[in-house]
Amino acid sequence: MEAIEVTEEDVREAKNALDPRVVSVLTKLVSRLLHERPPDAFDILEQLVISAKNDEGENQSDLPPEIPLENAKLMQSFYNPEHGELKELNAAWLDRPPQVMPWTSCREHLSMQRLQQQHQQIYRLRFWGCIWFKWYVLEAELTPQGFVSRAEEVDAAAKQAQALTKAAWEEMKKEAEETGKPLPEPPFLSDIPIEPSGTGVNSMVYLVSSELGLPESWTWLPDITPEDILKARQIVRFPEDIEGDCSASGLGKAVILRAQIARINASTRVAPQGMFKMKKKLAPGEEEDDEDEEDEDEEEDEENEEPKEARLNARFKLPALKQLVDLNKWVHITSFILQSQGRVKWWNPNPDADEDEEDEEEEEEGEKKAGPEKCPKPLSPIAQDEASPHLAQGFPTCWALRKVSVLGPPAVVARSLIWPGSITLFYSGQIEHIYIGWGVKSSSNHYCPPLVPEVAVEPAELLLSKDPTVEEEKAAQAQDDEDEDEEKEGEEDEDD
Amino acid sequence: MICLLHGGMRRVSVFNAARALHHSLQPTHSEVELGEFLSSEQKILICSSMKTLRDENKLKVLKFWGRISGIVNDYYLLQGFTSDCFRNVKYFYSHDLIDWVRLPRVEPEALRLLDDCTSLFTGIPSHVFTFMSPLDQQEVRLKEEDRLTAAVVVINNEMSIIPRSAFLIGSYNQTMKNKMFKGLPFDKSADQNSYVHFEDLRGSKVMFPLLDSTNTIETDFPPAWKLQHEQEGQVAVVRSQLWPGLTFHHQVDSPVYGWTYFGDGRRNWDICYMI
Repeated sequence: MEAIEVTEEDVREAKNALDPRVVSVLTKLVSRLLHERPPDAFDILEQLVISAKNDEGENQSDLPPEIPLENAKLMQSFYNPEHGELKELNAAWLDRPPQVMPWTSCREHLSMQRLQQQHQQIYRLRFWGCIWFKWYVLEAELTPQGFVSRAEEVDAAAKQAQALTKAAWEEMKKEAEETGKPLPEPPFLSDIPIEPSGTGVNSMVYLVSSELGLPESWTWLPDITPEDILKARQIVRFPEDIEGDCSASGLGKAVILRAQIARINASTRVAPQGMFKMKKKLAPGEEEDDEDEEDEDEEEDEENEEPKEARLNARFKLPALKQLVDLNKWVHITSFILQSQGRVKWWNPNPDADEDEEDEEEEEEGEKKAGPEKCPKPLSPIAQDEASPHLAQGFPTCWALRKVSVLGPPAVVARSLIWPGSITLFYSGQIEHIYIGWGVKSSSNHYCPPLVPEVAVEPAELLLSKDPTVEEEKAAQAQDDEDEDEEKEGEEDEDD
Repeated sequence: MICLLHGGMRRVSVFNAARALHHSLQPTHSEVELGEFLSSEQKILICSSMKTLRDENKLKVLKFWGRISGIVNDYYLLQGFTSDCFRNVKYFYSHDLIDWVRLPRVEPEALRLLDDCTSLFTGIPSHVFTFMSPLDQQEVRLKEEDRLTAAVVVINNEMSIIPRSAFLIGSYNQTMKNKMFKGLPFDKSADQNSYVHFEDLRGSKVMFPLLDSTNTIETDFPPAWKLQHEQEGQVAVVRSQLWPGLTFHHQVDSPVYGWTYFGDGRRNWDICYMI
């Protein structure tokens, strides 16, 4: 190509002749190429043209994303100088190295602090985990008064609900009698009583929130009834956005969450052997007596009906790393939920039989129906847990133990295979449990509805024939009779 | 109390996919709420292993693919590319992040039987699974290493997603990163249509295949993707329910994005009850 001399006049002419938009795009393109000097400009030439064309888009993307106003105000409200304690908390956080203060941990801590300040009956709060990456769950231990008042509320509500169900059922029966329709199935009214707040399955209270915000955003989950646990066991998977009732089970979202939390707690709270000991349950704030440590005779304790809980053993020695990775050295620290009753403590459906001690012994030995369900003792090793062979071929264990650090002090993670997401970390004498997952058990048997049978093949030929009329039938019948007579005569002739 | 060693148990550092085909050794991190974590020790070991593996195998790009957990041991996986993003992709696995073994080529038999084998990975590569195959109506055997390769390949092919216009097809018909990609704006990042499956679209008659691709996560069946914003809307997180544990993150208005898989390597067949 020959070199063409371009004068300013020519440029001005060109600008006027061409579409002004084209001129602006070309100007932007060239200026960008000259300023940024991208190395593979030829490859991305089309992209450059497109981005030069969509100039408005570029300006917008310079602005940071819109943070919702409520969240911004919320974060500011946490740093309220009125709450003197919060100021101290902030100072503590600043001391920690930056990689330890992840975004959500800070918010979670602030949120928990505010919650505890507002509700005086909360004695201790712990972050329990996260279900469905959406619901943050806190575990709260209430003061004894808190538990008592909560138990009363729950009792009153349950009685009211039962009365309502009974009334509704009476109405349905009347209706059925009047209209003559068949009687519908009676509602399931379980006799098994709910464990009162502060004991068994309901020993802790749980709060749930989809954002770590002000105390008002936390929903208090209800105490769980044995009936709900038995129903929740049948739910294999539940969809994420369960609004209202979850179809056939009739359980609300809050109840399902609570039931799953209870099941996870009962199955997956573990600790190294020796770290916890079964001792008399203390009220929050009560100090441990030195005398308690001497009464460790297990036989005596079984007959003693005082509630027990696993408490930290002050004389616990840090075991070697090799021992920590052994399944036999880890134990459960919470009681299992009974398979048949959905409670932790067996409830005797026939209390009258307990009056006579001798009778009770006979009953337990002879009849198995009335006896308490057998379940592993507290502090039983986790090696005894067995997974279904389907799930874990060749290694039917429920737990995966991993040592995490090679350089530092022994740190071991116990991960549950049955409840994927349940993680227990043991690190230099401290234990921490957290659950982050989908809130369902791991399964290997997937239900598949039976396939529809194959469509039957039609016969090859479909011969249509007319239906015979009454006269035709009679005529045919008469013909048959004649034929028979002829045959008989023929036979007689032959015989002769 | 959150343990110091792990820098917060609910955070994870996810190694970003390489910035360019000519990769620098410092992978960028993105803090994402994943529920799994890599400790600092693990990160250091992975970084050093990546360097040696890249040199030995003459790879251009090495990415931390994820972790498949087993009963006795876990598999940490790395994915290595040569000049082509789609052909000759190499995978390496390790139990302790020090010794890495290259995964063998994927067997068609393993691909076929992958979904029928529903038990967990054991963590022993030489373990052989015996199970009933409904297709063959007889008991079949599958080696764990083959099953691992098949799982990795299937997850990669089905679940690899990128933000729209993050990649493009260059003038020499190579799929390459778009240097001009500045990230999705906030409103686009909340739209499922902006996340496109990463596949080989060379030879397509469309002008900009990876920009205008219609194979987005919105058109997937079953619709098993969940899109969420974390960190006050700064990070868009896309999670899969079909392969639980697969997480894609994208920092809004920045060219930072990537995905990893932290799971047990089994497809979720109960997906129809979850959507």
